[in-house]
Amino acid sequence: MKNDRRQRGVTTASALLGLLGVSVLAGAGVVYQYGAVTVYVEEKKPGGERVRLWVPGVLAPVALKLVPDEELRLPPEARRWMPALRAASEELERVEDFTLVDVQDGREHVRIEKRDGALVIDVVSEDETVHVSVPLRVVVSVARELESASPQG
Amino acid sequence: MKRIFPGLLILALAVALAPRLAAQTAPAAKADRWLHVKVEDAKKGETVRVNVPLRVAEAILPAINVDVIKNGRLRMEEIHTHGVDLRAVLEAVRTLDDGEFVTVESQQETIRVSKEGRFLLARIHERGDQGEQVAVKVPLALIDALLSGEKDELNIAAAIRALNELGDEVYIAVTSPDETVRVWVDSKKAME
Repeated sequence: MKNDRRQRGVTTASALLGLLGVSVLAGAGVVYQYGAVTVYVEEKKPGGERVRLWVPGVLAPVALKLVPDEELRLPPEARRWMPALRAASEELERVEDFTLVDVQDGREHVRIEKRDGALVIDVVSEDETVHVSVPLRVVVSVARELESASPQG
Repeated sequence: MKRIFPGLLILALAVALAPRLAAQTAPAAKADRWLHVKVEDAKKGETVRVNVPLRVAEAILPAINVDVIKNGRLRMEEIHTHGVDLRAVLEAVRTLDDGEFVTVESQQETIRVSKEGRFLLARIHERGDQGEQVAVKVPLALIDALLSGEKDELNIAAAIRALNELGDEVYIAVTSPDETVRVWVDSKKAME
């Protein structure tokens, strides 16, 4: 009787552990799918600041869901551009990797690329290095959320 | 219970990776066409390169609904053409026979506008060492597409679609000692 109960306990614990493992794996898969928003800023001067930010992209739409609707309301002028932003991001996701904009002068090099499902902005100048990467899937989700938030006023 | 774990594991992996696998195994679509813009300013040592997949432009236009552009159409009343009926001019040009129909010669420059085969051409030749040379090539199919909407609008979405169907072509070329500008369409995602 005691052995039976212990056996059942071990089985339940194993099942819970297994489910936890599977959930973690599925969660990791979702995070991998959405990619991560990354920001890197480095000031090129003695004692200059260096900022690194890594946020799983899946958090952006989740965070927006938590923000009250009235806080998400954009001015009408900005809101009108959300469908275009969403359409552009959706279509960019389907296009192969490419350089959208490349501006180079003697002091600065700015490059905006579509790379591995993300919009990547790189700025290298005499003063600083900036790298921003935003997964297009995140842009689509955010644009969709902002678009669906009821209009201001 | 142990037998369920591999199943759950496979299920979790399938859920996580399905969209990526689907994207990878999707049939190859028609090759993309690209609109390129290159501006080189020798004086400032600056180079600007822009590459836009035409299908992205095509997808964005219907989603833009602002005063000037709605559903991929540009409303004529919103653009200032200094009293010139742009649509009437384009319609007139479309029906002209081949030949040069505008020539302006002055001390500073020569401007020529002509129709040659499938194209409307405009050339500006500025005199002097610092003079600018401008060549603009507009396919008639593009004009047809622009005029395919209602009378008070230009159909920009149709024009983009037309560009997508036309061959590789340089549409705008500006050359001066200090600056060169080129706008063209081809099937290469990167510039030479």
